[in-house]
Amino acid sequence: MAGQRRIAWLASYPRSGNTWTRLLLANFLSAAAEPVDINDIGSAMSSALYHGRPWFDGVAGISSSDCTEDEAESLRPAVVRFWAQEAKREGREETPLFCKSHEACRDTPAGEPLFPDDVTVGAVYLIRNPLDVAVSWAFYLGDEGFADSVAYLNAWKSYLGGSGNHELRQRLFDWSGHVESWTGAPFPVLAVRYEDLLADTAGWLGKIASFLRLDGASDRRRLERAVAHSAFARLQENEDREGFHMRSPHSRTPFFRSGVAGDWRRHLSAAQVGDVLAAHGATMDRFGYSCRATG
Amino acid sequence: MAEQQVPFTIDADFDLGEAAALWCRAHGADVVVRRGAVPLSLPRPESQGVAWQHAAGRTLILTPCGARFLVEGGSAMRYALDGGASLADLRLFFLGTALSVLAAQRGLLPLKASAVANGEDVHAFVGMPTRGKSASAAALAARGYPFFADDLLILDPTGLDTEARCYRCDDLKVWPKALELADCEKVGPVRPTSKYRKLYAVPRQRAARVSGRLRTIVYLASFKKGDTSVDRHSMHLERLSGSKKVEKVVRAAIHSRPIMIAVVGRRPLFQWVMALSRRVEMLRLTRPEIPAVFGAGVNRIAALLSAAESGAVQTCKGAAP
Repeated sequence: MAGQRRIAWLASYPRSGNTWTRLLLANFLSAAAEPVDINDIGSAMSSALYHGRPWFDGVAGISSSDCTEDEAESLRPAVVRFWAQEAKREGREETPLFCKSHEACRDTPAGEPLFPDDVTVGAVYLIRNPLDVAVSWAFYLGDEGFADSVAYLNAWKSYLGGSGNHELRQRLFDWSGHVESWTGAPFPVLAVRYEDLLADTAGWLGKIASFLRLDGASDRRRLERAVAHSAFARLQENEDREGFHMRSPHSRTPFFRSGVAGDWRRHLSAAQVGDVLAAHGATMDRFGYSCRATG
Repeated sequence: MAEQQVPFTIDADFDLGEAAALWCRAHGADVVVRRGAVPLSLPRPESQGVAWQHAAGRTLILTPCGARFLVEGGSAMRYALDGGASLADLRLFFLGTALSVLAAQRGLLPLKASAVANGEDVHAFVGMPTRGKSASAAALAARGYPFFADDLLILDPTGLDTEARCYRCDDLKVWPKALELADCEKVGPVRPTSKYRKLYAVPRQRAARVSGRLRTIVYLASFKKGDTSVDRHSMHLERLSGSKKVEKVVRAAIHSRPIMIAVVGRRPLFQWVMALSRRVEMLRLTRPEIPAVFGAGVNRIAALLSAAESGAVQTCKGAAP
């Protein structure tokens, strides 16, 4: 993978299958007999959390905790460019550099694209029914009333991380704004519905691998082994045995809690469903979710 | 007084703050820091990163707040303030990245660490951002270990055969949510903008000395969330050794690491760290990331440091050291 276009963005609204997709790709790339440990994705692929303070500080050379959130955000395109450049200098050119993000695809406060086109191979964008996102998000935060998570999905100013947090501030927009920002990005984007990935995991992993021009994208055995190594029960067992660094400290349930589609039917009230449909119906229609919500 | 010696003196045309006062000389200082013309780039840089360039013994630092520094040959520094950068911004970045570069140009090793002292002995805390380095050091100040350093600890690698002499230079800075945990008193904002939330604070007890003998480096880590093998009162202590020890230090403890690699060179930096690892006790301390048990954890760290001073550290899993 020559040239400066090295970054493969793995983007999604939170709780939309991003971590699972990273594990699928890690297991696909490792092609090993044993599954990749959920706490050690980096052993199988060059990857970063675009919002991670340790990554930012280690690459930038200045401390994010000395910067305002706006200043750190405005530096991030330069940080990811430098990361790509260093990887090339070190000869790590065989696969893309994977960068996970929950941010909306937007400009920095300095007016530059937060996700710079000039170093981007493409983006895999995970979309999940926002009704299920609301449920999963509530369990993740340990707040199982669901009203807050529905409000979060519907608020334009929603953000994650920030001052004093392990993660830099990430601005999400509302759920529809997030989806529109990514599906309208100025570089190649493969939009993958979480529900489709669940239904035909090997098939969609192959499409993702092909989109990112990874070797072995059509190797069915390799794809199926990656899927088996990333099976939900296996991830749950791994988390139960060793914990998971990405789990919220507030959560009372595992990070890999359920993973199913349609869980909203067991948890959300009619009013909460109505709130989500009122705010996001048009975008849900576009991705085939309205029937699932109302049916 | 021998303990008041600093590795170099500074004549700056702005106030460096109380903690750095012992470094300052009005005349005949080793380093002169003045406001002046600072270029936006260096010609033919040998190496460069996101916010810095290095060429021919000169290092240019471009901070995102608009403060720029040109550090030359370990003896001179010029700075410029653009884009509304204030003197408080200047001071913050001077006592962090710029002073680290200056120290490195003078053959010293800057560590990103907070520290406490007990007499001549210094115990440093390193780790990933927001792991509680400053808060732990400040909280220990209320438990008999005077606060020594925040964010930057400058080490003299030339004497590592006999001792690890280290120096402090900055005041305590904490996130607002750590004020109470760290049992310290708020002084005021670090930067004059509501968009920046860290505060200067005064710990219960501060070391008077500017230097000490680095005795322990404690790498602070957190348990993975949901790890069922630990409970909220668990604390794991592991002595780091061999390449693992070095890797941890290199990753977490070198201040402004990419710039240091450019200024010092990867190999000399590695050799310094190896020498340091032979001289000081290196421990990894894993604790729960739960504010409610922070104080109990600090009590255990105090017991650990006491044991380290008497050479009786016992590594453990699950129980208090």
